[in-house]
Amino acid sequence: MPVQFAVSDNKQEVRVTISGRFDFEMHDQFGPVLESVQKFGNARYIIDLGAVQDIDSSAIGMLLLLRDMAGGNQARVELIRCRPEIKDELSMANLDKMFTIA
Amino acid sequence: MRAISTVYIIPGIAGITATFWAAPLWVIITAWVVTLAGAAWSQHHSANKITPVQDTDTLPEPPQNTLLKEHRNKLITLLSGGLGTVHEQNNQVLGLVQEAVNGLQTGFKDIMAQSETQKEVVLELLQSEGTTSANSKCSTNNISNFIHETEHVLKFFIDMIAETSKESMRLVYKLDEMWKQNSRIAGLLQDVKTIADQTNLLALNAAFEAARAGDYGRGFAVVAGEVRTLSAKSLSFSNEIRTVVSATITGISEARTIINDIASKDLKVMTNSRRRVNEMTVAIQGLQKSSAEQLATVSHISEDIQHRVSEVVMSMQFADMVAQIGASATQRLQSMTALVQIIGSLTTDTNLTEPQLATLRQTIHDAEQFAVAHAHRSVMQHSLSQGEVDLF
Repeated sequence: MPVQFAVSDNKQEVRVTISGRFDFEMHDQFGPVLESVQKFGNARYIIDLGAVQDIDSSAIGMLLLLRDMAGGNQARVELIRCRPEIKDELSMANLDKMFTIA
Repeated sequence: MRAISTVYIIPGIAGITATFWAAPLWVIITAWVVTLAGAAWSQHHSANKITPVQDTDTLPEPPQNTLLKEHRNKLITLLSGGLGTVHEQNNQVLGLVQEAVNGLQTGFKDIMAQSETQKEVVLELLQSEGTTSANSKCSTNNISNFIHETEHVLKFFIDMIAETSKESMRLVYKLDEMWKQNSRIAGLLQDVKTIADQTNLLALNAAFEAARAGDYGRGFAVVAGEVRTLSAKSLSFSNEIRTVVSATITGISEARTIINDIASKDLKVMTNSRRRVNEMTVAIQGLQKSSAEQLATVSHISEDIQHRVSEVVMSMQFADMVAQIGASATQRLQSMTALVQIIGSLTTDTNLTEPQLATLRQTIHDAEQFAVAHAHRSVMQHSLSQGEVDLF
């Protein structure tokens, strides 16, 4: 599965692992992640982008939507293990000011 | 000053005669004046000199040598002519120096003015470098503003794309929900069809049973027929609703496709543009820094030029000193001319009267004092570095 997610036992942390091309086609699988936000509220979200080769604006839209639903400026969303080019792309799209990018 | 008790003309003339053929004019003049002025002094220190003669005594009898007289007159003529030439040349030198100095001063004043203008221009450039005024003269500043604006616009667009994508995705998830609801409606319509079919069958059975009951069942047959009609109508409605719902589902799918196009933008063009603009900003900043540094250097050079030129203008005071020395030389030349004339007026074959001697002594005394005073002044004025002008 290109999108997998796991919730910690105390329901405080949601870990999402994405692989392949992160674009519009991924939105079906990303839907359950957004549903989980409604379920777990202000948990900490760790999005592992280590296996993502490419992203487009709809991926950025999905990440921003997740952030909005998780509390906007109060949301705790981390994008981890980004490839240098992905990290650069996210920075150029000003996402480095909204997410913790590593 | 020492008082001169006796005047000796003969040793003076003898000295001139001795050196005349061997030395240039200036040396002769100098030697003669020195001999004349120092005659009285030297008699006190030299045992070989002629014994001093009292004021009341008559002068020694001049030699009745016409040849000597002739020579003396020639020498006096030469001396007078030479002194006149020197006087003239002295004035020429003073004139030339004054003219040259005037020219130099005008030139240096111009340099000062130009340098000041240059400095002002540079300062203006330096100031405009720091401001963001639209009518700035500095081109790098305009480019910098342009780059800044471009960066701003790109950031705005990128933010807008991200925001649009976010809202598009929100819409897509809503459409997905609507699609699910519509699918459920389609499922429910299937149930309605089943019910309609069953009702139809039931009505058919009722009609059959009514027919079997004969006349008693005639009224019931009418009811069964109505039920059957209702069933057909409900099926028809159900089909219509199904058509609408399936059109809605198709519409939702189409909307999803459109939103997909809106949401899915390749960010690379935008992000690459922004990266290039960022690089240009850095380059422009470097350019601005180096141009500011260069302007500062030019400004320092202008200041240095002004400083040096003012030093040079100060050095121009030498013209005043030259004028003063020249004036002093003129005075001495005039004095020397007067002395030569006195020598010319002295006759060697007659004794001088007491008033004549007194006048002569006074003249020599004045000449001596004049010589000493001028020697003092020339010592005071030998250097420009003191930056002082001893005004006469």
